[in-house]
Amino acid sequence: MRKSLLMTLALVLVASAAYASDAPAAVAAAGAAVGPTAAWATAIGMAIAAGLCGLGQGMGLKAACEGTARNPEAGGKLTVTLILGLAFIESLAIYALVVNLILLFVKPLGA
Amino acid sequence: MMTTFVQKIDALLYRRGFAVADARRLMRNQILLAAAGSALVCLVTGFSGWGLSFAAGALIISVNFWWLTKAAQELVRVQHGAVFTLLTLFYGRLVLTGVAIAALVAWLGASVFGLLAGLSTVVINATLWGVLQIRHKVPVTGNGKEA
Repeated sequence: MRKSLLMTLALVLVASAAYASDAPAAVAAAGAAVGPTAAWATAIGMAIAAGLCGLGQGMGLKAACEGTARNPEAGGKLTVTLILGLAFIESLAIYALVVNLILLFVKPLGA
Repeated sequence: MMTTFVQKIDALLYRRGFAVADARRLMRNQILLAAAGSALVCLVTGFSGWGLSFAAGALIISVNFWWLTKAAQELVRVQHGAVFTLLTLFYGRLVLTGVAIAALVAWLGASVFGLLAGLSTVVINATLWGVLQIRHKVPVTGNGKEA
């Protein structure tokens, strides 16, 4: 598992460098090589953020369900705590989304 | 007048399926915070791009929070398939939110920092709620007789 993850990461890094080097020399000199790399970075960043936030929400929900099953009277309090946790986790995913959109469209690192 | 307004919002939320009282209060606080914050920021900045971006961010995150709260109330009672349902809802909401934010940032030229500030209203609401809950639940101690 760890080996395949490392291999995937290495492949992604090599591919992004290769794509970046494919840009015409004149454009690359103007700093446009950031473009393809930024696109890769946003895609990978959003995938990691969304996947991990989804997993975190699922785990939080699992714990809340177990707690409600064991003590149904505490269901209301658990629901509110769950909502707060989910909102915090989801806001992280939305922040990651906004940062990725900034990288993709506003281009603070160059064209 | 304010009490009547709050009661009307509570009644509306109850009719819309917010059965848990604390969840209803949380959603009501979010609506009030987003509306008051947007109005204040728009008035202070003179309806500039920053203010309108703030209002757009607050609206997007409030709609998102509405769906999240409604789903969470039901999901706690579901015994099988809750994780799958939540993941599906999460990605569906994220896609819709992403489309809305992308449209604002890429095509409508919204202010990114205003948008981020508007999106942070839900974090502010949740933090305030948590702080107030802790303050109300901390027992009064320290009268010197424990030891």
